Amino acid sequence: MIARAFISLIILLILRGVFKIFSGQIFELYHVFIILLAFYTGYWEGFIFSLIAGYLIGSLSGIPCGEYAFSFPTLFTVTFMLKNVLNPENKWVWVLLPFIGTFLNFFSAGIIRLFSGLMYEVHYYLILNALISVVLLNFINFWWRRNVVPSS
Amino acid sequence: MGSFWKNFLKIGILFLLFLSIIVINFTDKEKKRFFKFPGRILSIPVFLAGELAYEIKNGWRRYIYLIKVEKENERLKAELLQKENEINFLKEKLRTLERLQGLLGYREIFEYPTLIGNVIGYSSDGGYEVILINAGEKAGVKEGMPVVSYKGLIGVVTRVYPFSSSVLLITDKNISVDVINTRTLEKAILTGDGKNGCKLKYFSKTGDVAIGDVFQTAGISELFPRGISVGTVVSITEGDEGLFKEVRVKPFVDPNKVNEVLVIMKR
Repeated sequence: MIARAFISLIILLILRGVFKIFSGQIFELYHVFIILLAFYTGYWEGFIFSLIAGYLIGSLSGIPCGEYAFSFPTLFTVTFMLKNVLNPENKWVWVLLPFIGTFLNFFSAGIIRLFSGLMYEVHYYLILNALISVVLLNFINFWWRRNVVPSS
Repeated sequence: MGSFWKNFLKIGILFLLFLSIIVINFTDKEKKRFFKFPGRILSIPVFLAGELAYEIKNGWRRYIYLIKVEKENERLKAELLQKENEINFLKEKLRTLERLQGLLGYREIFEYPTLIGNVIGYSSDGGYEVILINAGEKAGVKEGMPVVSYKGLIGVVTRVYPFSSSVLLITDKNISVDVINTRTLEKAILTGDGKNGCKLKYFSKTGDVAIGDVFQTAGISELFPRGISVGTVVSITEGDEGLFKEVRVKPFVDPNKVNEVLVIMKR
């Protein structure tokens, strides 16, 4: 599952790097895979993966300050905690989780950026990004679920 | 179950705090070192995909009509199309030549050596306004080098990989450029507004600025050489409160429409 998430992240990274249409902030969708991992892996392996993924992806940004290395594990931990509380059979979980997760990821990354002396601004298109996250997460989940049984 | 939750929460939170404190306290130099290696590795697939997309984009027009035809009529039609295409291709070449001549004329202005590169990618993450160019460490590019087009300033190199570099655009909120008003010679600091435009930072209400004024780099910070055109003033808002005017500047260069760039090998 981690291999799938890794390949998906690399594909998204290349798409965003090469094609102008994906490079806008509304296609900042890495967190979708981190949320999904919380449902399909154990805590520590997912945590370490999200930490490394955040570090790797953040290292390609214009001025890296470790924002993703912080926000990805944070998002993963919160999702992992929530998954035991929420009922995965409830469809609203799969709508609200990526929607709220988008904001959580942006805000936690933003905190690190502000502490590093960089600018951070919330835009209205974050809502659009959250909506796309919901669609992508449900699509990927449907795709992955065909072969994988959730770990808990 | 309870103890498991307690343990991983404790350790997880401690780990996150530890990591965030370490990264926040890094100096710029340490940050560069910390993020350099993975960036180099990850830039390779992005670079290769970018080069491939660039080649396909350019090669498409040349090869689309080179298909085999069976009938004479189809061959002639294809030939006609090919001729038309060649004309378009030559026109495109002419336009590219004009742009390159503009760049070459522009490079003579600077006292530093320059390097021509192509745009192969766009901002890939983090919300920073960044473009990727196909000139990197091997070509002698270093961090902090200004990047221009024949129309004006584009940005500054912030990350260097072996075969590519990322350029932080002047429309990004995290950049600061020292500029000078060519009409009044008043100096100011320009930054991006994150919406494909720029604005002047801390521009005093008593300062003299008018719509249409042209700003160039002032050459004070030693990051950008003096005299590179940056943009023109499009709006001035004077609020009732505060000490500063809000001056919006439209850059001469639209980063979305740039193909060839010039890296000024300063440093």
